[in-house]
This record gives sequence, structure tokens and C-alpha cells, in this order.
Amino acid sequence: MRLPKIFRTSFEYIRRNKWLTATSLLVMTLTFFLTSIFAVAAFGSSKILKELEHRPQITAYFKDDASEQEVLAVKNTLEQTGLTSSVEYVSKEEALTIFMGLSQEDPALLEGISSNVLPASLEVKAVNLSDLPQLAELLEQEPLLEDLQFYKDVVEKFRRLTAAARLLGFGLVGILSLISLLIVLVTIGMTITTRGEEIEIMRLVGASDGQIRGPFILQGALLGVVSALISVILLCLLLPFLVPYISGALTSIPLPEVSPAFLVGLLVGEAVFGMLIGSFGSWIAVRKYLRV
Amino acid sequence: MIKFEDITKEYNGLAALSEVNLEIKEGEFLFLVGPSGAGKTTLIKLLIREELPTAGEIYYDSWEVSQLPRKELPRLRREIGIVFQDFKLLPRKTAVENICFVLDVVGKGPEEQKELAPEILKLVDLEEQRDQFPYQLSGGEKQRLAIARALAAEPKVLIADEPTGMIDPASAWNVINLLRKINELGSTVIMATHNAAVVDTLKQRVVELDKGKIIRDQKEGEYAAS
Repeated sequence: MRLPKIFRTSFEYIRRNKWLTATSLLVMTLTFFLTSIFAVAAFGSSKILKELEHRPQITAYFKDDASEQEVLAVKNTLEQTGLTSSVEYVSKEEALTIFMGLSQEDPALLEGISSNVLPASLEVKAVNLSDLPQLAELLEQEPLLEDLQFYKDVVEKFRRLTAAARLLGFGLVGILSLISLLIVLVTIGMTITTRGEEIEIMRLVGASDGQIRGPFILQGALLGVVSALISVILLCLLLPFLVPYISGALTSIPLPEVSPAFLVGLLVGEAVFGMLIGSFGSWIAVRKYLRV
Repeated sequence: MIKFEDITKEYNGLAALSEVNLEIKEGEFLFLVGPSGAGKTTLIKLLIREELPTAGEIYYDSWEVSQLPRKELPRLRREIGIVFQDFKLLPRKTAVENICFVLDVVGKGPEEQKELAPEILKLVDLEEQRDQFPYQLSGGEKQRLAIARALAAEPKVLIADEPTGMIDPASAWNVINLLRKINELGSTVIMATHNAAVVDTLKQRVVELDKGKIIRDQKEGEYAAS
């Protein structure tokens, strides 16, 4: 059968089963929409994780009487371990500038503050997060150390949370994909049942499997592509409302931008997946009517 | 051309055909007669592999029909045109679309379809009904459309299962004349029928089935054994 004819027959099948088609379109769209949300969440959280990993993971505050030379000597020791990706010295003066920047809204806090109040510190980043305890131990042996802030826990916690969310997402998307597949099976199956006699006649007058199956498979593929398209459009419409809501909850972390390239990638991925699910579902559904 | 060798077909242990041997030569006109349930339709179903025999072999040319791979079935079915007892017309397609569907199946392009379909309809005298749906046609018209559709694939063998069973006598003769014309043009025609008048008038080969067995095979025979 030529391609335009297959398309025409496919559209005819869709038109004759409007409600069934609408139902499966709805379920598939829902699946893809949730997949999209999870994809955006996974994309965002991996960006946030990267951002967190870029922040100093250990901040070591030194005692008031520690001189700059002494602190820089410690810095040197740390760097020589080869485990750090960066060690930055923040002097008392710099600390004050940062503090004043943060407290601009609250002049009362700034009264009577001088650089002497704030400690000098070293901000340490490790190449591997797993080396952090070793670096922390090294710092703790330092007699000039006043306090040690260890961000490892925060990063680790977020990492675990992300992993759990991703696992849950994958599971949910997997289940929904399966449901979509079943719905396509039922929809196309019902389309085919109503045309069972016709399929039988087609076989008996010598139509090949391909000639019969083509339009049905195309119908399934179209269903998949259209629902992927709807779900991504829905996502694009919803994102502007969702982003401020989420960034309100995560004050100190800048929310990563969802790039158009990412959305296009998502659309293509889902469309291909939808096409596969749809055509596979149709293929299975037709199979049992092609026994004659 | 067609050869049934020791064919037995059982449904749930009951034999619809038992040890049938039958050979049909190219260009023959053959009547299959016998009471309902004698096995006429079963024999036809076996030939186009709508069913598989329980035992025995069926040959069409060099093909052993029951061993034919699934992929080859469409080829067999395009060589053997069937006019079904219940017509089996595509109900949601018009007369001309029913023809075009088969033309499409055998690989004719849109241009050829446009050209051939009216010719085929003319052959069975249905030019004026080309845009009517099967439910708008009379019994005789449906029967002729079914024949036209079977002819569209230019089959070497045309099988008609009770083609006069559901139509009035006048229409029946139209159909019979059509089948004779087709036979004269070179196609092998097998016709299963209860119509004694037709069989007696045409004086062709008669194969009589009863309870799944061939009880008579007569050249230039009549409907009832003499």
C-alpha cells in the first residue's frame, strides 16, 4: 500500500473511533506529561547538585590571633595533599565585606562591627567528596583552628534525595508507560474488533499482513507522537508558573534555567518513545486478528 | 492444476471430509453438489487455506497448500478468486471502492485503478451502481459485485460458493452466464450449488459430496445421479 493511502486509512480509523482514540490520547498524554515533569526535575536537581558541589565543602574558621602567614601555611599543607580542587583564603577584612553585603537590609547588625569580630577562614573544596573527611581531620589537628563547618552532609543528603526522587520517577514513568501500552492495546484492539470482519475479508482476497497492519501501526504511532507533543506544550505553558513557586522554596540556591534545547530534546525523545509504544501496541493488537 | 490427496478434515473429532481425492484441470468448469453439510464449503476453505486439513495434501500448481509459508498465502489467494456464499463485501466501501481495494491489494496504482474498476463493473453490469454501498444493492447486484471483486485480481481459478443461493432465478441466470463467460476466457471455475436447473442445463463435470465423501464424479453430469 502506498504511503498516502496508509495515512488516509489511518485517519479513517481514528475518525470512526473518536472516543476510544480520545481516551488513549488522554492516558498517553498524562504519561508523557509526568515523564516531562520528572525529566525537568531530574535535569534541575542535577544542576543544583553540581552547584552545591561547587560551593566550599569545608569552611575552616581560625582563631583571632592566627596571622595571615599561619593560615596560608595551613592552606599550603592542604594543597600539598593533592586532594583539594581549591583552597581559598578569606581574610577578616573580606569576611566583613561579605557580611556587610549580606546584612545591608539590617543596619542595626552593622553597628559596632569591625573586621576584628569576624574570623579569617579557609574555604576548601575537594576533588572527590569522599576525601572530605580526611581533609577535615587534617584541619582539626591544627591548633589555630576555631571552628569547622562541614558541608558534606548537606551535599550527601541532597544527593541521596535526588537519587531517591529519580528512582521513584523512573518507577512511576515505567508503570505509566506500561499502562499506556495496555490502553493502546485496548483501543486499537477495539478498533480492530469492530473491523474484524473486514480484516478477515482483506486476508481472504489476498491482502498481505503488511497491507492490513500498516494503517493500524501508523494509527498507534500517530497517537504516541501527538500525545508527546501535547504533553511538552502543556509543560511549556506550565513552567513559567511552576518556576517562581519552586524558587520561593529554595531561597539560597539559584534555580537552573530550563533551556529550549532541553525541551526540544524532551519532545523528540518522547515522540520517538510514543511512536514505539503506539506502533508496538498496534502490532500486538493486530497480530491476533491475522490468523486467517 | 488442483489436486486433493486423501484429504480428511475433522472438527472436534467429527469428520467434515474424509479421504477425499479430487483432481481439477486447468480451464475446467466443475459443479460441486450435495446436501448442506456435505463438505462443499469445507473443501473450498481448505483450498485457500482458510482452514488446514487434518490429514492429506492439497496441491495448487506446484504449491502444497497446507505447507505454504504464511508469507506466501496472499499470492495463493490472489490466484484463486472466491465468491463467498455471504458475499463478504466490505460494508463501508462503495461498489467501486470494493473493486479498487482488491486492485490495490494486487499492486495496481491509483491511475490503473481508475481505469480498470469501471471496466470490471461494466463486465458485471453494475456501472450505474458504482457509488452505492453494499446495503443499497439488491441480492443479485451484491452477488455480481462479489464476482466482479473476485475477478479484479485476475485469478486463474474462480470459486463460487452457492452463487445463486440468495438471489432470484432471473438474477441467478445472469450470474451463471457471467461465470460461463469467465470460464470461456480461460479461468477454471468451481461452483458449489444446490441449483439443479443450472447444473442440468450446463452439462458440465459434476462432483457430488455426501457426508464428507465423494460419491460421484461425472463428466457432463446432472444434478441428481441418474
